[in-house]
Amino acid sequence: MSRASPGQAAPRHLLFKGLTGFLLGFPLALWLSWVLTYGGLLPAYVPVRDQIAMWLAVLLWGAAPCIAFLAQSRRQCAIAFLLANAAAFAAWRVLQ
Amino acid sequence: MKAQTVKDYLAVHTWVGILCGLVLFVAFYAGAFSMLEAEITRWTQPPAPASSAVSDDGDALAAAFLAAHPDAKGRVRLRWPGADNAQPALAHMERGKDPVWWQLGSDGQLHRMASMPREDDTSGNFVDYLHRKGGLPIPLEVAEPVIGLVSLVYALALVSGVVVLLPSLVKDLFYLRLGANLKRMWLDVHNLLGVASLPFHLVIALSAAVFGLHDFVYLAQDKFIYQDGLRATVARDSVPPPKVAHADWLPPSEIKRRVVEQAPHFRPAGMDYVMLPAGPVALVGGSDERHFQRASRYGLAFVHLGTGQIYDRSYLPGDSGHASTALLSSLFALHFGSFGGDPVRLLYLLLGLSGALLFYTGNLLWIETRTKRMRHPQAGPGMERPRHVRVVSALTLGACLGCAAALPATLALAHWLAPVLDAPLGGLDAVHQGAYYAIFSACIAWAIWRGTDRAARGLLWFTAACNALVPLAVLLSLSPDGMLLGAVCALLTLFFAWLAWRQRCVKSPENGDSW
Repeated sequence: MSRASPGQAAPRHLLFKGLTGFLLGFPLALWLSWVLTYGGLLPAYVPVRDQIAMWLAVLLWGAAPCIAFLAQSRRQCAIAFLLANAAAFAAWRVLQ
Repeated sequence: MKAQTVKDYLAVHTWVGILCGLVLFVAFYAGAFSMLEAEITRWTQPPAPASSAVSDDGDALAAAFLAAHPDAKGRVRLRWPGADNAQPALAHMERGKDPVWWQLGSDGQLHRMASMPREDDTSGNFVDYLHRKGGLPIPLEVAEPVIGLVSLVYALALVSGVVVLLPSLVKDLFYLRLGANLKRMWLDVHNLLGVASLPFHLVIALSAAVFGLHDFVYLAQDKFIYQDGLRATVARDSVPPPKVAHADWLPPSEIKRRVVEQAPHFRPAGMDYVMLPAGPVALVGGSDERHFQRASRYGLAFVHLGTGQIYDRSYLPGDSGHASTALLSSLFALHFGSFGGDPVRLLYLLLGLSGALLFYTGNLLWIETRTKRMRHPQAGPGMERPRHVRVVSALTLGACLGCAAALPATLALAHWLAPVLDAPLGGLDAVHQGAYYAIFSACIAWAIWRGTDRAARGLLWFTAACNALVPLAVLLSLSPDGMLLGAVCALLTLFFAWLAWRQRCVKSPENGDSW
């Protein structure tokens, strides 16, 4: 799909970006969904909050590969997702 | 947005579409039919008429069962008489086991029901499972996570498709170029269908991903996210169920009466006793189609067993009170079309069929693009497509028409065979599985063997004939439950017959433009 050959455009590494978004997007979605639903933004009592968190996790997981293709390179894609994961993990730890 | 980025999203859109298009086609086509799930079941397996040997007293049935099984675990469901059963019936459901159905004889004795169809052995359920499995011939528990992942990919296809279309959205959206250039025509149809039903598709993609992956996500949250575990986290935001001694329980009919007093538009269909270690939780299931329902076709009222008071309205249609529960109910209802009654169900049926057409046109675009790319002017119109294009082309034709033919054919067959079927031979589900996959596989094999261009006309006539079986069966034994299904299949018969008739215009089967 994005194999390089002489005289052609630079490879786009779409498979790498898609898999990075899919794999690194999952823990990111779990941490972010917790931060958004249990991190203090919502009232103390919210019925079915656990289910909202689960739906949000799937939504964020689905969104991750969608934005992965905005990266200009493999390196940029991987670094962006790793940094986002680190930030979301830190927020999750601090807000416990 | 940079032109290269748009090109990237176009490549992503193309590849994820071609990878998942056929599974999604079957899921949407069967999903459209699943809007008629209850009618289909009643049409192929009409409910047994009331019998004088069976008691009409649901309260006595529940009391007799609970007295005979004081340590019952799992869930005990009392189903009041309704469209699917003329007399009360009670199911005992335990995790990992088939439900066991009971009725109370007029002699006051509990009788295990032999005639009650198993929940997973009905025609409606076959259609529902076909929808949930995307037509994959594997067990549901394996297919559901696969479909969940396919739904994530489907969401990616939607987003990437919108990104690709954005630069020319206003100019091209309602510009249908119906003419000799088939690729352009299918592109316009594909874009119009995709954009016009985008909100529907986004909701379906998200909800289908959740339905397929929720066990996996909950497990991950339980292990890695919730420090106290999932159970304790859920309990913090739940209304604790009241504890009531067994002697103080109201009879189910009285609980039903009091629930209707508190929620006049709620129509109870049954009552569940969920047997938990801390004591039973009682909930009344029913519907109010003026509002979004929390479950696939119904809502729930959590009731106090001693007073009949609804103590938790989170899942009561239209009365949940909180934004979070309303949001959740709306997501369920928008997937299942379980609101607004028959008009919304019909709309969802059309949206399901148009969704299937979206995936079909997507595959056609892929095929046409590769056909044109390979067709050099010097090769002339008779040039053969490359092998991989021929394979995808035959799979697209065979799988799409195979599904469209096999589904109505197996329903008509079930309608004729259900009265004479012997359950130990595998029951109705064996007929459905056997007939559906035999016809489906035969269509694919025919398309691959004959080639798309030669197989198309015959397969279209065959699909029209299979669809015609349903209205024929309805006309031979008129029943209100088969009317809507018969009308839908009659329209599909005309549609496929028209497509087949148009095929006679294709003079050269080798010209590659026989769609």
